[in-house]
Order: sequence, then structure tokens, then C-alpha cells
Amino acid sequence: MLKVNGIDVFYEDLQVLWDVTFDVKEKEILALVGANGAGKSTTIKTISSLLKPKRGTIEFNDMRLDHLPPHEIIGHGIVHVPEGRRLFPEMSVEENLIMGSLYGEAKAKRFETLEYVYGTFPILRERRKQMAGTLSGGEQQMLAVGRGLMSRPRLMMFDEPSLGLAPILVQLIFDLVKRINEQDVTVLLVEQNVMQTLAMCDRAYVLENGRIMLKGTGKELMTDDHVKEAYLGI
Amino acid sequence: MKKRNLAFLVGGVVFLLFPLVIHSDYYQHLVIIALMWVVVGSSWNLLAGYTGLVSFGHAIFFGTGAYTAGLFITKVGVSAWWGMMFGGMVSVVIGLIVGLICLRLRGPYFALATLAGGEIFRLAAINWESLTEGMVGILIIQTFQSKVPYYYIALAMTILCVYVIHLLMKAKWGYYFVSIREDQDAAESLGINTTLYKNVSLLTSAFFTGMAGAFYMNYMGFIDPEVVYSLHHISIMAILVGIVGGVATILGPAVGAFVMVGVQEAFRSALFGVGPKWISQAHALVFGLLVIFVIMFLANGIVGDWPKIKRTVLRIKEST
Repeated sequence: MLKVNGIDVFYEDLQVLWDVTFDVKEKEILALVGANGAGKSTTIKTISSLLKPKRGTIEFNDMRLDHLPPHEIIGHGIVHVPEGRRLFPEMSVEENLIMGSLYGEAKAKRFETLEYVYGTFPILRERRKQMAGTLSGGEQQMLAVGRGLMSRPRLMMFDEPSLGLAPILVQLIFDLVKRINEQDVTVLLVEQNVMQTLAMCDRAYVLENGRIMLKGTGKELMTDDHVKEAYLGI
Repeated sequence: MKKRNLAFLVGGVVFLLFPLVIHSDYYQHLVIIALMWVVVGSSWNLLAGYTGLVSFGHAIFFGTGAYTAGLFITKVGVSAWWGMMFGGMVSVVIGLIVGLICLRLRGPYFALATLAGGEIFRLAAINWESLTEGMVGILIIQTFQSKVPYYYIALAMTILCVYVIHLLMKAKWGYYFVSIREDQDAAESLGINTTLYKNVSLLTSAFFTGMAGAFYMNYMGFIDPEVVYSLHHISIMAILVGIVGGVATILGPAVGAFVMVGVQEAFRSALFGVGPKWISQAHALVFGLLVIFVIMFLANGIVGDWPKIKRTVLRIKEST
């Protein structure tokens, strides 16, 4: 579905991704795991076209994405749930959700999707007139996920959805990601929370210092000696 | 809702009848100037308050509008009133160029770039004497002796400007502008062409500011670069009108314009002639103190913090 072919990405003169290659298959949960600064967020931002690769290509269903401006990416069915949630704090919950469905099919089916999102997150319906900035951390993360769903994506990319949440909420968010995936949405998940991520994903790639070091199914990687030592502390 | 409609009706009638009831040229002049500032403040607010692009250079558009109107007489030889339409359009063209350079920047960097832009225009207008007459300025004969026609022209311009901005903010455009203010990257990743909508906001703002500038030329009959491209008389005043009235509210700049013109006049005239003379020299100082007061106690301006003002007044009443 999504093919990332050997991308090199720079911030000014500083190279942060080196020949990163991976693919996301239809309807799976693919995880990119790694430590802080390994290049996970950079990868996802490059797919969103917020950064441009210097070399390599990104294809989505055989269409080149890497030359599109960032605001056109969403029209192809890819949505990015950004790190740190990035809501519009002085808009209401419902306005935030509507901002997720501005064009095309998403706009035509806006109210249908809104019902579905409220069905998935009843708390958002309760708070729909409240300013997004006044929600708790967990609620804000739900709103960010809900806003992403509003575009009726085929591929949803989550950038560290567990960031800054209490452990019990982390599990809740992961359950949500699984539930969304069961509705036939392909998921690309970027996480530092290696153990829990490997336990729930189909396949995973391990990024280290901007390079793909390992790949395999979640279960394989959990038993890998290097992963155990470096990330699981076993 | 009913109460609000009534307030608008009463306000409308007061403004329509004002020059027919108050015949004093002096008070008519103050209200005309205040109405002009409503236009500039509202335009600034569209860009800074709603879209989050704080401009320190609105004199660029005000001055360009004023000079367009002036040059219609001195260079083209037609009425300066053509400037009311074309002043806005020329400001839009200038706005495109300003946007091309400044909209690449965000936050304080945008503010600094527009500040520099305003100074560039001022210095260019001073030195490009073959076009602008430099510091000599442009003097024209006013069309009307009475202030009443100017009053209604200013009122029409103000209503047009505030209403257009109100419609923009109620439509989807408004949501796009606010989303850019709140988080530009998130807006972009939700499919909003932020470059396009930042330009829409900037150019609308430039258009009405240019129109107000052209009105100023027609009404005052004299401009020079130090007046219409002035940093503190135009660019900073536009910011003060917005901040004092309340950023990101429709009525804020309107209230702010009347307050600021009132304060400015009160100090310029030494409290309307009853205060000591030295007060008139302190008006810049008082502006500064007023801004400090507003930022500390009414961060959302008079309109934005209206509930807070009401509560405080009630509490004072109760305690006495």
C-alpha cells in the first residue's frame, strides 16, 4: 500500500535518515520503534510531505507522494495524527472534528462520520461544545484520533500517541488503535513504548540513528536478543 | 439574541443620526477619524487576531492607499475619490509582494519583517521625490466643505469592512484562519492550503487598510510620508486599537478605535483644555501605560474581557 524506498532526509545540512526503506501492507498495523532521536517522527513527517527527501521515493498505491504539497496528502486517504496532539485549543471539540473533514468524500459524509466518531468516543459527544484546550490529556488524544478519523482515511499514521499519558491511558489508546485497525484502516504507528507496541502490532521495523536496523513480526522482535537488551531491559 | 438585535438597531440609528444632531465640526471630525480607525483596526485584527500573523507594518497599506489617491490627482489628473477603490487594489498588489517575502516567516519573525517593510516604504516615499514629492507631501483641495458627506462615506466604508470580515469569519474561511493561528502545521496536515489562506487574510486586510488610507487623503487633504507611512501613528496605532478593543473579536477593534481616538484627543488637547498644558506632551507615555494596563488586567481587550469588567463593576457596587 505504502512504499518508502531508500529515503535520505536532511534538516538543513544535518542528515537524519539514511536509506530508509520499508513498506506498509493493506490492513496491517506496522510499527516503527526506536529510541528518542532515531528518526521515527522524521519518517512520518516525510510521508506527510512536511519534509522532502533528498533521495528516494515514497509511493502510495503506486502514486508518488514525495512531490506533493503537504495539504494535498490527506486527499489521497492518508492522515497524520501528530505528536503532541496539535489540536486547535480555542476551537470547540466539534469544530476540531469538523476541521478534519474539509474536502471531498469526507466533507460529503461529514455528519455520518461525526456520529461514528461520537459512537467510538462517547466522552467527546458530552464535551462537544467545550474548548479543546480545556480537555484532559487522554481526552485530547481521543480528540486528535477522532479528528484524524473524520477524514475517512485508508492509512492512519500515529506519531507517539502514548506521549505524556498515564500508563492506564496508554493501554486504552493502544486498544483504540487496534479497534480502528479492525475497521479496515491501515495503521502506521510510531512509538517509543517498545514493549507494548511490539505486543500489539503485526510487523515492526526498528530504527536506530536514522537507519533501519531490524525488521520482523512483533513476536519475532520481542524475542530478538538485540531488542531485548537495548529496549526491553531484559 | 433579541437583546443583541435591539442593541444593533439602536447603535445603527445613533450612527445614522449623529451628524444631524451634533453639529459641532470638532466632534464630527473625531467620530470620522474613529470610524476610519475602526476600518484599519478591523483589518489588522483579521490578519493578526484571527490568522495569528501579527503585523507591525500596516502603514505599508495605509500609506499606499493614501498615495494612490493622491497620485490620481497629481499624476493622472482625475478625482482622488477613485483612490477609494484603486487604493485598496494597489494595496492588494503591494500585499502580494509583502506576503511573498514575509509569509515565509512565522510569529515574531513575521512581525519584524513587516516592521522593516513599513520603514522601507516610508524611506522610499521620502526619497522617491519624482513620484511622491518626498517630504513636501501632496496637498489637494477637499471636495466638500461640510464634514457630513465625509461622515457618511466613512460610515459606509466602516460598515462594509466590518460586515465583510464578519461574513468571512462566519464562513469556512474563518475556521481556516483560526486553525492557522492555532497550529499551522496541523492545519496543513488536515488539508488546508495554509499559504493560500494566509494570503487571503493578508490581502483582504491590505485592501480595507488601503481604502482607509485613500479616505484619509480625501478627507484630510494633505499627506506626507511621515504621516501615512508612520510607524507609531499608523502601524502601532493599528495594533493598539486591536489590543485595547480585543483581538479576535468582531466588535473589539470598533470599540478600541473609539477609545484610542478619545484617549489620544483627550491628551493632545490637555484634557479638552481643562488640564495642565504639560499633559499634552505626555500622550505617548499615557499610551504606553494604557497598553501595560490592558495587557496586565484585560489581556483579551475591552470586548474580549467584557464579562470580567461587568463582574468587577458589580463587585465594587456590592461592596459600597
